Amino acid sequence: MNRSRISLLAGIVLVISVLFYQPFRNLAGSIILLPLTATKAVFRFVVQIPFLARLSEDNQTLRNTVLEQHLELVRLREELRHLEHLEALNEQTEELSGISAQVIGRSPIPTQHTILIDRGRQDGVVVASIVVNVGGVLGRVIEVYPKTSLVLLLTDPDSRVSSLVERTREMALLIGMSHAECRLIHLDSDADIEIGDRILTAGLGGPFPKGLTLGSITRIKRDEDTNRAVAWVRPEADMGHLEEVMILWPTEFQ
Amino acid sequence: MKLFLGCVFLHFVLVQWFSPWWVPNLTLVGALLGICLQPARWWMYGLAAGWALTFWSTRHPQWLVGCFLVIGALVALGSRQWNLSDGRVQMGAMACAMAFFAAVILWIDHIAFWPIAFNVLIWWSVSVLAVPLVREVGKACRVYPN
Repeated sequence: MNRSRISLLAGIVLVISVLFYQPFRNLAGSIILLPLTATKAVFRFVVQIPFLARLSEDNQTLRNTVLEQHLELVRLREELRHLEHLEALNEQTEELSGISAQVIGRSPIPTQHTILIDRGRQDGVVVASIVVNVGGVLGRVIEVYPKTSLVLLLTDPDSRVSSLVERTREMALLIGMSHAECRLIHLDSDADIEIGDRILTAGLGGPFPKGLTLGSITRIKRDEDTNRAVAWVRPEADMGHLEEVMILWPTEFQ
Repeated sequence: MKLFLGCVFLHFVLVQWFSPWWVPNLTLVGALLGICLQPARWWMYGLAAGWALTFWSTRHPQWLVGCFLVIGALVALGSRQWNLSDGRVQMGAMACAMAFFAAVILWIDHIAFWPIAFNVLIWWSVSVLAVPLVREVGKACRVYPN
């Protein structure tokens, strides 16, 4: 008697729990619906058997579509990156006139840092045109052909740019060394320069207008005996990975 | 000649992606292996390699062409003394040729400071080590005799 009472009580509690306690209701619903769901799944599978071959084709087509859309997405992203790059270049150099260009070649001789760009005499490029990118000055055009031009980079040993330290306006000369860094010379040993100082073009002689970013100081060596200091400058622009550049007309053409 | 042209092409492609200091001097490797195969045509390989490398050079192209001709002539002369088909002799010749070439380009550009020595050493090493690799690839592509 007691056992039947306990069973009855447990049954009532269970029914109440199933009716009113949400997790139990969900569980009970799932258990009740399980055979129905399984039957429906089997039925759908049987119904789909004649279409399996077509489903496989559809699957392949969809995979191809996804792949094509993925490639399109990659292309559009690349195009967007290119446009953003050009926009940034235009913002940086809006007061200077010029045209954009693509880098199409680079000198295989490691001591001669030159690049070939896809704009030439037909596009209005002249010798001594300035080449920049979002990082700053890259170099200047030294040879012009009908459709291409050869650019001497800042890091080439023949490159000489009159420069100034942005913070203290110290004047110096930036020379290339066939290395990732350039050297800033003609500084007094007590020159007010620090590591991290930004170096800009001084605009004195040569084609470069005043105020374009060249790089920042990474190392300083002061020699009290000769009263001279030398600083090493890492160009702001990554010379190793150049794609799009902007050609600005030299100062005398502005 | 196919091996040489392939080397020149690959050299130009690789330097578009990596710093020329890290890319083996495949133009010199191709020219050297070409001269090892046909020592009588040293002048042709020397001129072709010189022209290919000076295509975008800005300074002293005559020095660079001359350097290749000297290397070609010396390797051709060496063929009378040594067996140039031997891989070790080829690597030895490449080591000397690269040292000479590196010295010439540093000298004509007046570059002499310590940090560049590390770059030159890397360039010299990868160029010398590229010789057996290029030879094996040439054999696989049937442009270099087995």
